[in-house]
Amino acid sequence: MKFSKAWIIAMKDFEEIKKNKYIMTTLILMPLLFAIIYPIVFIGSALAVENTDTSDLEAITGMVPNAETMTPQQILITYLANLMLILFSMVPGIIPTFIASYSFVGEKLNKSMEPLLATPTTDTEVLLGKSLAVFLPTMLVTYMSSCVLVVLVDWLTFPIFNRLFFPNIELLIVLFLFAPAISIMSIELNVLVSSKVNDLRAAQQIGGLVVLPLVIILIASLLNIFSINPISLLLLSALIILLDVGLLYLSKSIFQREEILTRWK
Amino acid sequence: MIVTEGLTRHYGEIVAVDNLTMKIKSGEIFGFLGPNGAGKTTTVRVLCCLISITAGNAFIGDYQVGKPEDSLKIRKMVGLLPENAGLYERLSAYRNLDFYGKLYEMPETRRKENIEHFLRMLGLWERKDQIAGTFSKGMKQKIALARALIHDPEIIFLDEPTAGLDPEAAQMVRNFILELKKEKRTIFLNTHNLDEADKICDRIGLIKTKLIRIASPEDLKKGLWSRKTAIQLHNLNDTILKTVKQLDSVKSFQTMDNKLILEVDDPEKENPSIIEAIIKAGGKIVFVTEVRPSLEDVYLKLIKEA
Ligand SMILES: Nc1ncnc2c1ncn2[C@@H]1O[C@H](COP(=O)(O)OP(=O)(O)OP(=O)(O)O)[C@@H](O)[C@H]1O
Ligand SMILES: [Mg+2]
Repeated sequence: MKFSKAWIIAMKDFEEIKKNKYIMTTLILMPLLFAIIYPIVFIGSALAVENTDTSDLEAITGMVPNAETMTPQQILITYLANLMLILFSMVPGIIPTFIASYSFVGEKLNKSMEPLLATPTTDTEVLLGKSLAVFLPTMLVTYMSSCVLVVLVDWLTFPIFNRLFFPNIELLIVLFLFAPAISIMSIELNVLVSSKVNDLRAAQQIGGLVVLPLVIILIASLLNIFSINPISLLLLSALIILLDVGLLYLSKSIFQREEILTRWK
Repeated sequence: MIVTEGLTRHYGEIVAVDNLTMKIKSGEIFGFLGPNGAGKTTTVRVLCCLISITAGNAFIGDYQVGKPEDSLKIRKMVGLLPENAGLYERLSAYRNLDFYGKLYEMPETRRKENIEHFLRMLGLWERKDQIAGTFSKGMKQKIALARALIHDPEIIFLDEPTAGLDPEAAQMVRNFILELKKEKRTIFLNTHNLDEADKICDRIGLIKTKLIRIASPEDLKKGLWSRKTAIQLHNLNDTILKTVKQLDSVKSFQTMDNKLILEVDDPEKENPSIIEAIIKAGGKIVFVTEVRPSLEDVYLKLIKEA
């Protein structure tokens, strides 16, 4: 495996992505929208309720670490901010479905896979190159929009906490562990989907199912079954990374010359 | 240069190529002909190490097809123009070629030289910065051809390079292929265009899952029918027919309207006296021509028999 070859392929894909107005618009607008709307809805609603009674919050108090040292409003904000982090992880989950549907299914529909596979590159180099071309832009927009999110949340919550709420441990775990793991999972799922699907929209819709685990986590924490704290986030990340490894084997077994040219529909 | 020994490839139950044994020499243009679904594309894909062999062996130069450690070396040696051009539609013609040059790890100067050389040769240098998606089918095909050559491969596989091209563009591609032959490259050409195969190929292989025959276009045509002579007359009548019938040198003959078609063992020697006899019998000759089977006749006959 030569990384340089994977990089040549990734650079080619970047160039194609850059020239695709649809992807570029989605890439810029969607994360930005998430980064602005979530804080306004979540933090805004917490700010709106001024005189929260501790009894109303009993259910969630147990879910927030160090709750005993906080005011009810601080507890509420901390709880909602944690939910927001999970929702924000949809960005690295969904973005790959847009890019990958073009770079994998698109390349297949365009029949440009055969000449590419006829070059002296290994299957792994091609898969790695094309995956990097999805992963790097995804993480780039995730991090850029997370800056907007952090600034917005800190600006809204500074009067309540009298310190910067973000960055905290939870945010760091989400950004540097959970989000990349989710993004990799999404890319691998898209590789699997692209071997079966011949239609960009369908690929995007099926690939979008990657947010399902996030929705489950979200519901579980709304039902107070699951509490979002550094330990649980670390465990979750580990679980997703494990899934990633399994999916990597699967997608590697599907992404082979023979398979691509003879069995991919 | 290319050797196959009992090469066989199945797709599940379907036998696409069966027991193919042939040798293609270095520097020759080899034409691979056969009906749709005959296994031409499959053979090319196997030889380019894109798909696996079910049974048998194949060698490209000194390397064995299907041996994992030889695959990359083979792919480096060969250039492939697949059935579909498959260009990156959003990238310029130049960038399409540049990308492939880089994948073949060509040094930058050589890469640039080759891109310019081929684009100029194919008359597309002025449009090098245009997006490939805006090109016509023929132009795309030419770019794809340049792409197959960008790394100076010794062996070039061309899968129907002139399919869908206008006559002028097809002619240009054919001339281009002949140029490549002058550079001592080995060319493996899949085609449905029999005229093209006849004109440019040194040898032709006929395939319909199995290899039917392999020979030079001349030998293919000669092998099937003896040469015939057609004599077009103004007035083919019984006297003339009687005269022809009595000639020992005429082995058999047919008539078509005022045309006589004769089978003669040695036309160079016998024809002058036959013609003299016909004139003496009162025949007024308009044309005398040699009848050769076209490659198409040979192709249709052999494929039907197979
Ligand atoms: N991926 C595949 N799966 C199953 N069968 C296949 C596949 N590819 C080719 N075949 C079968 O293999 C046989 C040979 O196909 P191939 O494409 O090699 O023919 P060809 O000579 O190139 O035909 P054409 O002149 O139409 O291009 C056909 O019967 C075809 O249906
Ligand atoms: Mg074919």
